Amino acid sequence: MPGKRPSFLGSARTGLSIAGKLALMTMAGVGLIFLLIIAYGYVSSVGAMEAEFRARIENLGEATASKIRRIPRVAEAVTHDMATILRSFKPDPEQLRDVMKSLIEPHPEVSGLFVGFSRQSGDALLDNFCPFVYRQDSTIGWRNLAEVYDWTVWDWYQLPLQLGKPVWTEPFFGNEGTGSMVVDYCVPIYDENWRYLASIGASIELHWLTNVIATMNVGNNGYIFLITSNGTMVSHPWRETIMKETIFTISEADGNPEVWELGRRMVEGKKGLFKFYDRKRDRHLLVWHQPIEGMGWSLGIVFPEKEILAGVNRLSRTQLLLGLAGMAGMLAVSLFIASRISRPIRSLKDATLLLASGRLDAPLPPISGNDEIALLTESFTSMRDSLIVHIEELRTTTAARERIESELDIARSIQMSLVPRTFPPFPKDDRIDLFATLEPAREVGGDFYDFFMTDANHLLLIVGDVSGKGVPAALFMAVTRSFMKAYSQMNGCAAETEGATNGPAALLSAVNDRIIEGNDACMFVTLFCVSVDLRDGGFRYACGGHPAPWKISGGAVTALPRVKGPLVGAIGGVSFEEGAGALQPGDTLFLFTDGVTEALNQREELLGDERVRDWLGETTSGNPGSEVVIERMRDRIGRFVDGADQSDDITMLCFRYKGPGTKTRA
Amino acid sequence: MSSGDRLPTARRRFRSPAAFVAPVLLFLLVAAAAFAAASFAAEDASKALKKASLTLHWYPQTQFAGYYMAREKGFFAQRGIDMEIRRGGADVDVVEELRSGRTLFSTMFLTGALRFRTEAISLVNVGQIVNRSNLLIVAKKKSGIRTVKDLNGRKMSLWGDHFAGAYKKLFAAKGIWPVIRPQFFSVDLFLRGAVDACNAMTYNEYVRILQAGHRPDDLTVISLREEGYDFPEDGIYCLEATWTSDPQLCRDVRDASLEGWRYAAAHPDEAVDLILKLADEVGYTVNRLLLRSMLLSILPSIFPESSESGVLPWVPGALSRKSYENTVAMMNEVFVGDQWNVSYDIFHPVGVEAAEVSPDAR
Repeated sequence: MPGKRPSFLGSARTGLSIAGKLALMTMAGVGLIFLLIIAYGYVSSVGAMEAEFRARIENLGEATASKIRRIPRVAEAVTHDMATILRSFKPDPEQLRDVMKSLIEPHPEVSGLFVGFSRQSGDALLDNFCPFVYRQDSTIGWRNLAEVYDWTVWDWYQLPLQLGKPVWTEPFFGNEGTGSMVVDYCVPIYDENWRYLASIGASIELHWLTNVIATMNVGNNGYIFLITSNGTMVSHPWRETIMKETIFTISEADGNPEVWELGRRMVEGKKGLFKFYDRKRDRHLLVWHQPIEGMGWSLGIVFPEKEILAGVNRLSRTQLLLGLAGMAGMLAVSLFIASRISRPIRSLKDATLLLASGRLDAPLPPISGNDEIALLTESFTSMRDSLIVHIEELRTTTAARERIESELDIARSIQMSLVPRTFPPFPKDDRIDLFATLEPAREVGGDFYDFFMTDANHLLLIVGDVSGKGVPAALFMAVTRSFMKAYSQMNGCAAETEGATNGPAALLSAVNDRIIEGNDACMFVTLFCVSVDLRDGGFRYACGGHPAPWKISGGAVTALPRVKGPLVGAIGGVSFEEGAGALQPGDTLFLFTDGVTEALNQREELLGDERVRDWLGETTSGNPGSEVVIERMRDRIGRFVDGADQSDDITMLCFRYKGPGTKTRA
Repeated sequence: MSSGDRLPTARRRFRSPAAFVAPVLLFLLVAAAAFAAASFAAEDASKALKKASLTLHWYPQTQFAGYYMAREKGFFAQRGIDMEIRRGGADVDVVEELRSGRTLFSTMFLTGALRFRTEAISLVNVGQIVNRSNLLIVAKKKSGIRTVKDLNGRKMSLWGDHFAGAYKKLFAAKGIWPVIRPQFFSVDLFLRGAVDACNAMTYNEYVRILQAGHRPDDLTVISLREEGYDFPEDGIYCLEATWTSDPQLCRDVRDASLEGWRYAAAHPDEAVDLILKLADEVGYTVNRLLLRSMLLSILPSIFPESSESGVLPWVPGALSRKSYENTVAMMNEVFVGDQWNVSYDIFHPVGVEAAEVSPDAR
């Protein structure tokens, strides 16, 4: 195809080349391994990061919780101190005021301390008494809350009374004068008779706790929140939720039901890591939650998952890009190597294509190195060289054989021209109906027939089969024929002249002696000759090792009686026996060679004498002409042989004596 | 908490910044109202607005959405009333406000009004807004309390005084004796497990319990109404003298309030936004979800849904004779000492002729 050169990767027609396959498989294999490595690396990195994160956030949680915890401890201590004092002593109101002031003075986190005495305490002094000290700027104020309101209705009084244990109240808006968020720690105390004496409470302003939270480092996108045991938000970056919302209302408002579950866990005082998807803000969050011991509160540290894994993702992305770049480089390298390998193969392929098209002189690529390609090129070269030699020999042999075959053709044509081929041979002689055929086998054979008038009334019929095949047989046949002709003239062969020196037997004898003379090749020939007197149909015949002809007379087919006679050309000085017979008008003589009887069919069955005789009976019925008989016989033979190779020449001569006739040669 | 007063003693909730803010607000409100009134008067002398005041019996929350919306949307003004709305709370005693004349009208529970009406404080009802009971008993299912009978011997927190009336009647009828603890302004006793059950309003404490992380499936909720103790609640009250001196004003206050309630029912989010703002101003801790739930929860107690027979169970804004007499009977049964004998016509002079007239269905 002019101008279309397949690329070294292959073409649509030829598919992937070696280079293409090599590159593809390398890429696929390497790519797969690489991806597996990256995937493993990512997964284990994520795992490691998550473990690392969890440890880090756990530490942060612990640190925050304990920092936060420190502040309420102060309130607890102050309250318990107060409780101890009240249980141990019975201070009067004045003393109580001083004691309480001195208790809170050293603790700036405690903004107030108060004692709500039970109305049922029974002590007249304590009746309607609710002492309260509080910070006011730089001083500590004092009042009896009983003058202002009924303290017994408030949670700080009721909760420890009803629960019978210390509690942290829910946060509420605060202190007189400050308006800030406050939470109370209150404890119940009982008198010596185990009657309820009072609820003691200390207030802490929440900003102490939330300030702690503000100091904790949670990165750029993380934050800490704090909830009470009822889930009320106490500290959160979204300040508008503080005290008004619970974690449960936030869950409902945002449409994140998982946050409800998180809230439950926190409220139940559980510690752990919680993951959820924030539908409202479309991000995945991780929350570490842990309880603030003793308060019933819980803190949550929130991180966007993206941030935690940002490092890992970045790394993986970089790895992936590097890997892809590496693979691209690898692709280039493997293509380069592949093309280096396949180039000599390709040039070899191109060269052999040329070779195959017959251009044996096409140059093969030069051999460099000792690798497989070099060895391959070497063997191609030697193959090409021996091809050249073989082709030369073939050409010579073919030429020689053709020469021989053409010589053989010439031999054949010579042979065929030696036998008379004109029929009818004696058209003006109405005593003779004669037809003969010679079908040579593949190779030039040695059969022949001949017929000629020895004189005006005698017709000589000859059939012969030279031994062997090929040119020698043909030459011998020609020689034999010539001698037969020559000696028949000298012989006379006329019936009137009796004697041993004429007639068919004498003819054969003479020819035999003559042939032997120059017969270095020791060839021989079988002969049969018949001399027919046309005036009355009488005939004389001699046989030289030849199959006896058939005589067909009045529908009966009989063989001529045997006469003794050896092969002609074998031994000199032999005599031949002579036979005689008579033909009635209409009788037929059928002469043949053994090519007829020894014809083989596909099953290697011999045609045989019997068959010939039968066929002769059939073909001569109705007294057809000799030509017709021969045709019919040929037909039958052909059908019998049925395509099998003709091993020997088939020669048939059919002579029908028509009677003395009107024509006599003068 | 939707309670009115607990005890007749006055007290202030000293811790609230409203201790200072509220008076300031009050002053500002009065000043603004006065200025508005003055400017109205200056602009159009022929359309002088009657000044009136309405004190609500708790902090700003959507339990009172109708009144606030009525003022916001000018329904009072349309009726020629320059209405000042005063907030309630732990530091506000509505009965004292009425008695002292600091306010003209006030909201309170029917049972409260029955308890606190005296010769000196001759409360009359000029509009029954919340016409059915919203009282509940709430318990955690895992405490084993599933029915009223399960409360026998169990600790329960309960509001005192007239609020406990229906509950006491219920316990007596079932023959049970729960151990009662006082409940004041929070349900913390219940949430912290100091008591096994508490009483709650459907529209307030119950919602707060849910917002503290409880699911309805985890709670046993006993409705007093469904137990057969259904008494009306919030109503508009004034002193008898106020009624006699200007009955039209009283009717207008009721009608404007009802109109405000209708508006709130049609525009719940607008109502929630307004109340949220007002609550923030006084430092009352509520959130949007709570206010919304509260509003949607109380509306069916104000505007009835028609029953299968097609007859409305009550007329909005009207106290039926039957409801009144039922409530009186309950209170007399529970509070044996004080017998109530004020007739229906005196107590509810407005009668049943409300905006939609329909026969007494009770």
